[in-house]
Amino acid sequence: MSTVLALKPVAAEKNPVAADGAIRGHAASAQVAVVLAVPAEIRPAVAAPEARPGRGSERLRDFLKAVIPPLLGLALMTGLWSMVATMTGNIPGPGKTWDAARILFADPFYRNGPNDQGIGWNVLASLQRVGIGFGFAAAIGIPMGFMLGRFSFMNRMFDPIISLLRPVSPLAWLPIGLLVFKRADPAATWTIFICSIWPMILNTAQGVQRVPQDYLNVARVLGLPEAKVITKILFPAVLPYMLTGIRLSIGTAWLVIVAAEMLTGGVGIGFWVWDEWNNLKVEHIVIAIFVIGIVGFALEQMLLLLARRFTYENR
Amino acid sequence: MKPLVKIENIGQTFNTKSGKFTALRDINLDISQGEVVSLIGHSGCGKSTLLNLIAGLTLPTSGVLLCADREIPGPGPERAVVFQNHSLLPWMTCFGNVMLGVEQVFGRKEGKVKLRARVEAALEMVHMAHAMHKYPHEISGGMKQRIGIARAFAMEPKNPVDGRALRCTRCPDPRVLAG
Repeated sequence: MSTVLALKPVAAEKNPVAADGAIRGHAASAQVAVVLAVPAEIRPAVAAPEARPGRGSERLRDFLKAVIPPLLGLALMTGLWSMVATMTGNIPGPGKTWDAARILFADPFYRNGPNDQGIGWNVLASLQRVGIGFGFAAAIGIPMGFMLGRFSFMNRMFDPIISLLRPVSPLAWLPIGLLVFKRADPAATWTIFICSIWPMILNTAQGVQRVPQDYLNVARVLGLPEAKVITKILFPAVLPYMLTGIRLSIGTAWLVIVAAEMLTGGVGIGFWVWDEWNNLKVEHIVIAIFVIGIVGFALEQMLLLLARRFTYENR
Repeated sequence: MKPLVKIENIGQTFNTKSGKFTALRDINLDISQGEVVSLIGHSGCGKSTLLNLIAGLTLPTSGVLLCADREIPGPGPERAVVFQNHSLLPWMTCFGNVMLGVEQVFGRKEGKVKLRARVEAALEMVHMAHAMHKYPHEISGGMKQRIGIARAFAMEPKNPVDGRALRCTRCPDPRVLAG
């Protein structure tokens, strides 16, 4: 009995309310005795790690452990890049690219007519297309995913359609978009819509199918109406899956937009890459590759952060 | 005394890959109001299957289940369940989890203050009032079970069904029907 209680006071000291009410009621007097007796033996064990010398250097070592490998990787990439650049002669090396980037980013938001705008405008134009196409895909794909997940009839009905259309490159849909919308800009957005909608539907449907039966049983026993089942149980349970779908969609959309804009022209990072190729400014193409990579990485990290916020620990 | 719950010739078979599996056969049980019933048996003998039937989560393949002279059509708040694996919703605090049930049963008749008081009283009963704003993953397994019990009892059911200790209550003292 005393060994069981010996653990209690430590918790009780830090957070008095955490003490177990049932035990406290039964053995109040025994606990008082233990509270007085135990701290002497418990304290040193708890205090030891903080008092140990060299904790700061340990933290520094952890920091270096986290930072050095990625830095080495980047250095390796830069090294290979400059090697290839000197060997081939027509690919600009890191130094030349850096100089060009400094000039380019000195004024990213200039406008000299529709076909000559700063890189900032180009990136924003691409992001806007991705945003609109993706927004429409979410507005249609998420409710559809819910339906497909909830009703197996719908699932079986749409399964052949999705299986058939999903492997098609979204660029194959570009001519259809041009035909329907008569303009290049909405056609590019249309390809984004097409490539974004599949992961959204499939992940949402999977999320709905994987809602633990326990939670649905809770809803049934409490007699929750369908509206409350959706808002209080289905939606929170599906949200992590939905966010995975959104993350995959945005990733694909960002891949596709570059290719779509190369074909449609106008303003946008994909068009800009093609334009700079026509101008034979290869260093700008290298810069664009970095910009596309950084923006894609940032989008991914943002959504990962969002997903972490809405992931619930189970059990 | 007239039984509150009547179980008559219940049979339950499940269709499995290797054919039909009979989980329960010819079960008869009457439970009076306030009676304490313990179901004891080795694991897999069908205790939980019977509890699920009383809760209405599953329907029997044969036989009849009556609660207050009416056939059990499905689950409902008048037969609250303390689930075997607690089944708290992880995106709600302990308070929110209990409130979900209370709101459902008393929300139409009572105001916010009264509902809150009910939830707090239920949490107090299981000695969990101090942790009501914690999320299920922040408390221990035993504490989660207690929140599950509070959720079931806060709905003031005719017949709470406890997965580990199935309880029947309406009279002042909780009655245990263990599974």
